[in-house]
Amino acid sequence: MRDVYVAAVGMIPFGKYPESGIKDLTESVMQNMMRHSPVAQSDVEAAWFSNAGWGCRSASTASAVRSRSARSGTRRSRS
Amino acid sequence: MNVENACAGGSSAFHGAWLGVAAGAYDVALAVGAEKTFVARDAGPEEKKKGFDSFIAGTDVEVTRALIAAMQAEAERKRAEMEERGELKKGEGGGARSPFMDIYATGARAHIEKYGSTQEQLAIIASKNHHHGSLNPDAQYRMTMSVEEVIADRLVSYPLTRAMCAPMGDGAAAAILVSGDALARFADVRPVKVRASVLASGGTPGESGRAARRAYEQAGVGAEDVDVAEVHDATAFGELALTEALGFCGEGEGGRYAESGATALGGAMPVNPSGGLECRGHPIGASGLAQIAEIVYQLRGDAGERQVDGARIGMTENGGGFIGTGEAAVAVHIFEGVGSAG
Repeated sequence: MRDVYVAAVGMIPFGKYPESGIKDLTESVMQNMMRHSPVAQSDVEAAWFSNAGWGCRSASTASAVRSRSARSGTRRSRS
Repeated sequence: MNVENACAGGSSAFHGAWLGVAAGAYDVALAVGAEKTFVARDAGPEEKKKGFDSFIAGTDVEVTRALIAAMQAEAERKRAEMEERGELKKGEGGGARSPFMDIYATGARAHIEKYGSTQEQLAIIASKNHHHGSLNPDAQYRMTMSVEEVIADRLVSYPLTRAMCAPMGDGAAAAILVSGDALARFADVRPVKVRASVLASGGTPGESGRAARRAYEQAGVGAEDVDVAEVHDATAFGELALTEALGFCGEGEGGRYAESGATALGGAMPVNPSGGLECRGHPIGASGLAQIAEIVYQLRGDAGERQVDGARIGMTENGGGFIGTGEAAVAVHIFEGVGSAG
């Protein structure tokens, strides 16, 4: 086995994004990571994408909350 | 490649990418995870049910429903006893929840019974993770909670209160892996070496311990060499059990170990400096990669207010699904900060 190194990592702040779908979140995290990455996205030869099937309902959830949501993203309390 | 491996999906994707690069098939590979688990209160009960059904899919589906029904009945018996003794208000606790919370609560009650651990020790873990989360700008929960506040929070399934459980939430995390042969192609790399990548199939209790031992062997290090760890604290009891399974303390000692302050920032073995699943958050398919991102930040010295001083060896443990009360999948990674290539 060859030596392997992590050259870049990234994440978006975890929280509540009722206005965004899975693809939006994926685009955001790629943008965050590539801003500081020494490796260009065009250098990537293969990709593994993880999802457990929850986001399939994102559109219906988004439409249910769109009318009342003033804020997408992180909530700061457990209330 | 699409990866679905329940809560261990993110680190399973990372393991797949590692395997491809280590084997020589690729020089540069990407692992990325994204999930949305937040269901708005007004979205209707059927939305929440669909989500919880995703949890069931991460188990042995042929036996799970009966097993969970038995665990929920046991939790209800415990709740009713406490109500009878006046320790709970009438009807307190026992609301709708993820079936996984009953699995963790069953484990926690057994640990209390066998080793004399306490609900307060679980609250110490949750309070510590809230403090860590308050220092992490990427965490879902950034408010602190005292031990007393954690205990006084809504009961989910005894002994677990809401503040001891990971929240519902959305998120995404990612990593790029590069072979040692190709590193020189890129300028300004601050590489972190993957010293071990282990993905184990479980089904029997103790799988995370076995996976950790394989990872230590692969990396050529021991538990005593680890400077910082991110572990799968879907509940505070998960963290308690994992500090034992990874060998940071002895079997049965996890509660007292947390109470000693060892696992807090500034302690001998800081665990979940990000806030863990409890406070950084747990969007299922993204969580394992967020753990890895945190360890990379720590080993590069980029973790800001929550930096573990001088961290050189970091570790992640990410569990996925259940078969019985044992994890269905376990991924363990060990990393080393190397400063520059080589």
